[in-house]
Amino acid sequence: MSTKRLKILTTLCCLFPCFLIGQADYLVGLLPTVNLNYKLDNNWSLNSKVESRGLLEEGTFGLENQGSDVSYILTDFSLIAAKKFGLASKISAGYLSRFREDEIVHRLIQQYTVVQQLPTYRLSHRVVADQTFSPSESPEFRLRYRIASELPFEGQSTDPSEFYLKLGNEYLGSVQGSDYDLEIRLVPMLGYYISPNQKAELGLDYRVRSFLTSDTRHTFWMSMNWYISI
Amino acid sequence: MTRRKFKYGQMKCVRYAVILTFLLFTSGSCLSAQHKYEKESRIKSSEVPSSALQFIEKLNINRKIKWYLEESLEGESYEAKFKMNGKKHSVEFDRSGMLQDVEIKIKTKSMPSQVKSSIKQTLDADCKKHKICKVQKQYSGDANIILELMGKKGTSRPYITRYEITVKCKKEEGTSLYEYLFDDQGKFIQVAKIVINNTSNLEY
Repeated sequence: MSTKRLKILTTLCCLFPCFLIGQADYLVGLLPTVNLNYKLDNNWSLNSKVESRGLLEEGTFGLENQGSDVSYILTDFSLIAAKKFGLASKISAGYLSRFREDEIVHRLIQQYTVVQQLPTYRLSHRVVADQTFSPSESPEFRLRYRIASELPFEGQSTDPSEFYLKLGNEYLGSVQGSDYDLEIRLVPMLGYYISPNQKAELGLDYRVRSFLTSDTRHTFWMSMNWYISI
Repeated sequence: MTRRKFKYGQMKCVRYAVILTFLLFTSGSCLSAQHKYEKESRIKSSEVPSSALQFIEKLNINRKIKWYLEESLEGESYEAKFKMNGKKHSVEFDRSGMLQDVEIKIKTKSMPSQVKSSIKQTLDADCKKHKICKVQKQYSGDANIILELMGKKGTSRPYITRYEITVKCKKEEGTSLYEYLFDDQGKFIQVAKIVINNTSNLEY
């Protein structure tokens, strides 16, 4: 990997808000995802995703924690229809069902993405608006922006049977009732291009929210992604 | 536990199988253009044939040179990429180290107007809408003549000049990237559709 890319990686790591840990709550868990993308005619495609969450540990920084039982948290099923415009832009809309404890949460999703093929790496921009409806909470409205890049370890582009580094940074603003919040996510992943239609990724999905209040929560997901394209 | 070792020939077959599988799953409805498939891996200069290294040394480049092994359906080749006189250069050699061509990235406006006009006619006929993304001037011929050409004095000896152009082209079936090759008068030689790798891991 080039020196320039190492510097970018180091800078991103330094953005980790260590100074905000204090007595904040934390959660460590597993986040496996299977993502299936199906191409249709006329530049339409369908994307289906199944994502689960498993809890490994939770507690409060700075306090002696009792430890937690490894337990299942929830599973999301989503289906998104996308239409490609131009070379690499897509407008999408879809629906997500979240099965959590005894309730089902519903989410509507609208999304715009553009992927740029730069000389030595790919860069994507994603803007998402989603509306979440749950029987036990007020509706939540979120606006999200994510920038992500795929950096090949070899050559100027990622080819089958090669590893790559994926770095993502996302900002989520949410409004629920009279409450508003900002969540920041940092996602460094090691990816492997299994075949022309499959990619696998493993890494950390770090999330911090409510960091401007005394209710700060840090979440560390071990993220495992499998992307299949048909 | 015994591990099966693959011989070089078997690995080569596996690689071509991957390339063919890639083409099978990604070939779209555009049947008039070939698909351009290239897999490149960064290699060390010690892995490059000496004749290729000697050619590059004669250019007296004082910038970093990156070497790549390129695999395509036409076979394997070595490519040296560097910057010289402020322009990006790419020098391609075959497996034995024999020079195939030199490509220099140039600005669209630096092409002769007659050539630009001829190229535009071809693109207007092929595409509903188009945008030239990259232009490379390609030189091929005798290695010594090409060395003279790339030197300060140039050469009066014969060599072949072509233009390799990457175009964003909108057709009935959608917008894609194509690589066009034109001769020194702007006459069309061939076109290949550039296959973009799966991006769902960046979109979702």
